[in-house]
Amino acid sequence: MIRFSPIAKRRWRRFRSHRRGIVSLWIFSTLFLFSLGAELISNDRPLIVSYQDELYFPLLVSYPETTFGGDFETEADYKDPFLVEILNSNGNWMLFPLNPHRYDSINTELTHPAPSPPDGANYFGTDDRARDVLARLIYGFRLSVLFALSLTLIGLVLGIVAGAVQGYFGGRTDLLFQRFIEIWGSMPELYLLIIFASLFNPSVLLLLVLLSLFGWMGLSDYVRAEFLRARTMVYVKAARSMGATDRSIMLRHLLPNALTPVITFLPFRISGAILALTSLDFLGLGVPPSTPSLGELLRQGKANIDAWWLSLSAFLVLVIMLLLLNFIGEALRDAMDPRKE
Amino acid sequence: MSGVAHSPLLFEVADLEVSFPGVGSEFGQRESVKAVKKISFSMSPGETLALVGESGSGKTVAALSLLRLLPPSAHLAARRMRFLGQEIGELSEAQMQTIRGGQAAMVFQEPMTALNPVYPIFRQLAENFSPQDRDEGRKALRRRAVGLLELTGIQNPDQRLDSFPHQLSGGQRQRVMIAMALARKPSLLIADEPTTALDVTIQAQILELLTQLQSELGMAMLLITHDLPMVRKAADRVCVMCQGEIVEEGPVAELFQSPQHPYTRTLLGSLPSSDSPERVEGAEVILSAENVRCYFPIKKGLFKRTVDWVKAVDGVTMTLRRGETLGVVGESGSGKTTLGEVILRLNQGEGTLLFDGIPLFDATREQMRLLRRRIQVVFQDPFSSLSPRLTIGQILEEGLLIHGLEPDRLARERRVEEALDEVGLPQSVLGRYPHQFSGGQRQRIAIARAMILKPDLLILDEPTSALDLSVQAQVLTLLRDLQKKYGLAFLFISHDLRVVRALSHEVMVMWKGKVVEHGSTQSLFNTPQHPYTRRLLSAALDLSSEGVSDQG
Repeated sequence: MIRFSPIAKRRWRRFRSHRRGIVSLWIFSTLFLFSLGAELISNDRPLIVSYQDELYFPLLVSYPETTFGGDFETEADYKDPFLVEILNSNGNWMLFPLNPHRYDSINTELTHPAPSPPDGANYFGTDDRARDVLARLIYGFRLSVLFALSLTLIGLVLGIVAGAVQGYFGGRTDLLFQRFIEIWGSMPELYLLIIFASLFNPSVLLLLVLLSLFGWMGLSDYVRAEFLRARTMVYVKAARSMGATDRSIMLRHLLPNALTPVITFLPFRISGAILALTSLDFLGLGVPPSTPSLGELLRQGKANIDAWWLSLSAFLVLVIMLLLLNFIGEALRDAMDPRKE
Repeated sequence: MSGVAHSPLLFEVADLEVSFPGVGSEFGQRESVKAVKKISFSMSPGETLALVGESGSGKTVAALSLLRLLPPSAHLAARRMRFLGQEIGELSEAQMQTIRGGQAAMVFQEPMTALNPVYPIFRQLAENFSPQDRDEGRKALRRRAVGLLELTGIQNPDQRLDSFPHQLSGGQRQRVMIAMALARKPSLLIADEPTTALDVTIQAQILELLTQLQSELGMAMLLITHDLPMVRKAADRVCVMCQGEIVEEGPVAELFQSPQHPYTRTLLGSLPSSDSPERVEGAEVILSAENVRCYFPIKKGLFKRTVDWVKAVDGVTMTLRRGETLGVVGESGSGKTTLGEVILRLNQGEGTLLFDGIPLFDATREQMRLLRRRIQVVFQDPFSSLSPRLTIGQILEEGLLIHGLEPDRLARERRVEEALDEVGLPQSVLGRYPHQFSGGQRQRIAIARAMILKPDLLILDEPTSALDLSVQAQVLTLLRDLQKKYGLAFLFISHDLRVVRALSHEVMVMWKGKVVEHGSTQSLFNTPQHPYTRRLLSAALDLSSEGVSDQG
């Protein structure tokens, strides 16, 4: 069992007493949990199909159209009028998710030219390629948060390791590392992204790697400062005279003290990462075209200025998500404030 | 107020009570903490009153409330609080400001932080002159400032006025602080632990300066201190404070002769005895040093050439036997702490250093790791020597884990409990964190952390100087018992000669990295040879007159 220190408990109590922060945390976690099950909420394949008194689960298994009496060996298209007809008669039935569209499924039966405004089939309308906006928002939200979480996590690990090594060993190591960071930090990130976007196939992974390479530097400064300060403390001297290794001093004695600024910045780093992904997508340097992305939706909104449902919905999702994260961050910052202890 | 104005008293305080809103405790409830509980005391002009007590006794709070210098959160109530016939509670903040620095001035404990580091001395001194004086023009002001510094015995006062605080030594800074306090010829000087942060020889000088200035200028002095010998030397009357109350009050001679209150008696009894311990016959040598040196390079210029060396430890030769204590005495900067760190190999030294026959300076990493178990250390400041985020149990078992002793968890826990027992702490402390303990308790934990590894040599780097007097006595007794029980060798580093005398078999006096005198405790204290030793002894023991320590 993990035992929390009294300091951690006191901070949690203080965080909890921050109403706006705790409510934001609840809302954000709920949204994120739901978006993790996006396939169950928004999909163009039915959850369950009952065909000739047998149950099929198209979400898990892909059935060829021939299973349901069709002509083709390819996977069944459950929106095809022919199949819809078969599956809705003779006691057969289909159960669709709440929003019967996937982020990449194209609605071929639009009454308006794409982008079409919200109607009964597409609750938030469609984008310029006739894809359902609500589905793209749900999947886009999930991708943004997952991307931001992994980017933050990688940055966290790199930043802590780099800062810890610099701060603990100090002297020449610190000096060389600082100069390296200065040079590294002055590299034109955007140019590199443009170059790489044209060299390789754009993908989420490539973006993650590229942004991680630059995303750890701000954090390492804080960790370095905390280590520099704490390594001269007497308890470090005491541990060393007891024969403790560098590694155990860093992990046991210094790291717990250096975590305060790291945790405080966490929500802000996450929202920063979301914003970074969105802006790159907006510029067209981000994820490949079919990926659901909020930035890409914004770009469509810009291209189709009278399709208000595009820009407005993407904008609202972004604003709510960033606002929630900032509220959480604010509460966390207050909870970690040493002056309130 | 007309009748009161002719009161012969300088100030009078009746039933003063000060409380602070409590910090939210573990369970969130808030209780207010009473720092001072219904105390009454008064002073006549020209008199010296000492407020004596241990940390947390409320002595500083009581003095600060006189000048209304307490933080706004403090709640203050008094039946009467008059200063020069004026009721302090009724004065406006502006009137209060003319009293502060004008009729009553204060000297603080920490000369290192009480001066603003970015301004030269003159500018800070000039701020203390009255507005009328400040109109006289810069030249006149400077003359007055020089006069003030001269009064406090600073050499070259004219040059010193342009120095910045960091260019002055601790003693000089405290003199500047005193000069600032005297700038407007106050009738009351409040000195809050004015010598605690200073070296022994400097302490004596500052105290002498204060008493001399007091009689010259006819001020009254309110001396706040925990240092009983100093009280005996400087004060006329004493108020002993304990947990916010004045438990005893009286003229110095009487109080020291026949203390009435039990707390005063324990306080007086806590002064270390002047008998040094018996020598152990025929004990084997555990640590011997020959010509041990530790130099730090001073690097200058673009290529960081070494232009000179700081000789922190310069040719120290000594031997230490099992079961004995070698006291290392010296002022700050004398290299005594560096010597300890060289033996611990926290600093690289040169020369020959044998621990149980093994040359320490040539030991490989692996050898050193094994040796570290046998050489342990207790540091001065128990507040910073324990990791703040580890529980006491984790802190104590760390050594066992590092050295792979007691791999079995239950056996390890038993050993941790034994170690706690040894230093007189209950087992209930295991899950708690360092900040939940007092200084004395933390120092016991630090001793337990060292003792758990069953070392042969314990280096004690000023283990008692951050502690209150009565706690100090307890820790010293604990150390002496442990030494007897386990035949431990102590290297006892301290600037406090009284403590050193109580614990050491042999004493070594260090000055600027060199050993200037070395001998058995008895002979060194009775017949000091080197002039520096004599100066040190007279400064320290003059203050602690023999009569005091014989009381215990």
